[in-house]
Amino acid sequence: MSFEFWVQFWKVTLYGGLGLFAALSVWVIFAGVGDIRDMFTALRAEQDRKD
Amino acid sequence: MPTFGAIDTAIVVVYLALSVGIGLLANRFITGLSGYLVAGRSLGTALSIATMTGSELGLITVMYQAQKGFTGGFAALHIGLIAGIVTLVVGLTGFIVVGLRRSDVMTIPEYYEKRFDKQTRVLGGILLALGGILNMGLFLQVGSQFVVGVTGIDGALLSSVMVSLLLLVLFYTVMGGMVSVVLTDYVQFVVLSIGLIALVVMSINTLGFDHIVEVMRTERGEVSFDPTAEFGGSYIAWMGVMGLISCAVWPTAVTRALASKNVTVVKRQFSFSAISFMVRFLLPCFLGIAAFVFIVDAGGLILSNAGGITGFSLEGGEAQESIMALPTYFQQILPVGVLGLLTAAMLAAFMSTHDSYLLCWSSVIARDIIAPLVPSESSPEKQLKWTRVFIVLIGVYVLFWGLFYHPGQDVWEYLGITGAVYFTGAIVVLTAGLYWPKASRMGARLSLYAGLTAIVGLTPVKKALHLDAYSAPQIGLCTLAFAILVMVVGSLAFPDPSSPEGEDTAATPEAL
Repeated sequence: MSFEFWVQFWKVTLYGGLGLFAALSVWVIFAGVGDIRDMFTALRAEQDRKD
Repeated sequence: MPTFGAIDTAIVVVYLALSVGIGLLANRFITGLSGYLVAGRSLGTALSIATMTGSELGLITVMYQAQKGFTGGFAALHIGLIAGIVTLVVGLTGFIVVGLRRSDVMTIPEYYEKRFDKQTRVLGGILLALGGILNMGLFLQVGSQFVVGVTGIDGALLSSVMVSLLLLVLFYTVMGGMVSVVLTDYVQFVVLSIGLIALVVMSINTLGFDHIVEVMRTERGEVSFDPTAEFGGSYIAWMGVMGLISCAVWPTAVTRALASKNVTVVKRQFSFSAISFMVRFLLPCFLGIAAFVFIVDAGGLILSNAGGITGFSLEGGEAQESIMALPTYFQQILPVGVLGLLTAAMLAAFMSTHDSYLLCWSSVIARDIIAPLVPSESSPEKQLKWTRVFIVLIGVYVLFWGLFYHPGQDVWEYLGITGAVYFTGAIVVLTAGLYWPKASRMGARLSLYAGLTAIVGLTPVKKALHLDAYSAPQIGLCTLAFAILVMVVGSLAFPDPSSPEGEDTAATPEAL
């Protein structure tokens, strides 16, 4: 593989990874709040069941 | 040159106080062992991804990958790329993780008992705890190096800071178990993802991608862009194994699969986490490359010997090890306030890894070693007690190991080899247990013992045995091949007796 190939390859990998991670982070940050709410609901239900 | 000021300190203190608050909050929701160890198996996809990323993207990961980028150049980016591809394959196929989730266990050794027998579980638990605890031995040491580099505090104060941080993690992990780990991981994901993306964007904007390429080409040559030339085939193959291990066999990652609501969530979680598993190596590695370019631009010296790059010195400054390149770079380029945010993000990374690891190894000791061996200690309440006791004991070990052990090799290589003590045997036992009906107890035990030979890859052991000519990846690959061989030979030569009617077969390949 030529030097130019590797430069382009790492550029695409880096920028692509950065873009995907940014999109994933936005989704996880917002959807994670709902999941935390669900987790507490489930744990509270478990607590009530034991009481 | 920016220094760590009052604003930075305030940001860090607020963040740490928030973590303690979360520990206290989580403790109110813990009613039993399942709640403590796997958060009642109630995690949705987004939260699973946040907690998995929070645990696996630790400060130690950031530091050793930056070191890899600093010493290996662009070619080192292949580590992240391979990890991402392998995790995506695991997510799409459900390889190992789906089978484990279906078997309804809380830990990996528990699966060994379901599939093989109690002795295999205890042996697997001991090796898992040994490899895992050795593995996290350097976390505190490397974390402390980061704090020194960024804040510029002196060595005397440093040990107090690190003890305080450790106590903080111990406090909220002991109190809230997996619930507090998940909550703090979420907060840490938010801080860390924003921080990491901002740092990479800032580095590209400040230094310029083309300039970075040009400096690396001039200083390191074109070879530093080609992984096959810079690292070689055995290293790349070992990275493939490590990528699979990190996501599908390493207990802290697998615990997330076991804590997920169902198999669909597990597959989705791993498919999306492929991005996290890629960038956790890719972005810090690139920051290490940026640190290299910054030091060259600033007129600093890159130090090397026959084995490669070893360190650097800034103009008029003392020589420093390569692992210090990243914190030095941050300290030089970040303004007051941003430096505090960055430090909070990195401490978040430090804490999120520690809490998961402490919980994971201590629960394995309590659940897979003590409980099967001492029946009077096997009730859920006793397991909970022992888990909390071992969280504290492992914390004490981490402190002393970090103070006294000096690896004498790349941190990444140290982590790979110590982890291999457990995972070279475990990947074979799990794969054979889940997918090969003929896998037997004898094969499983031999395979687990075979993994122990990976310890030969540690530099002090290698030197003692005069095996310096072999690299850590070569030794790791040989160990893996040995573990596969003994599993096959052991299982065929010593098959299990047929299962009596009514015996639990829930974990056999046929049942899964």
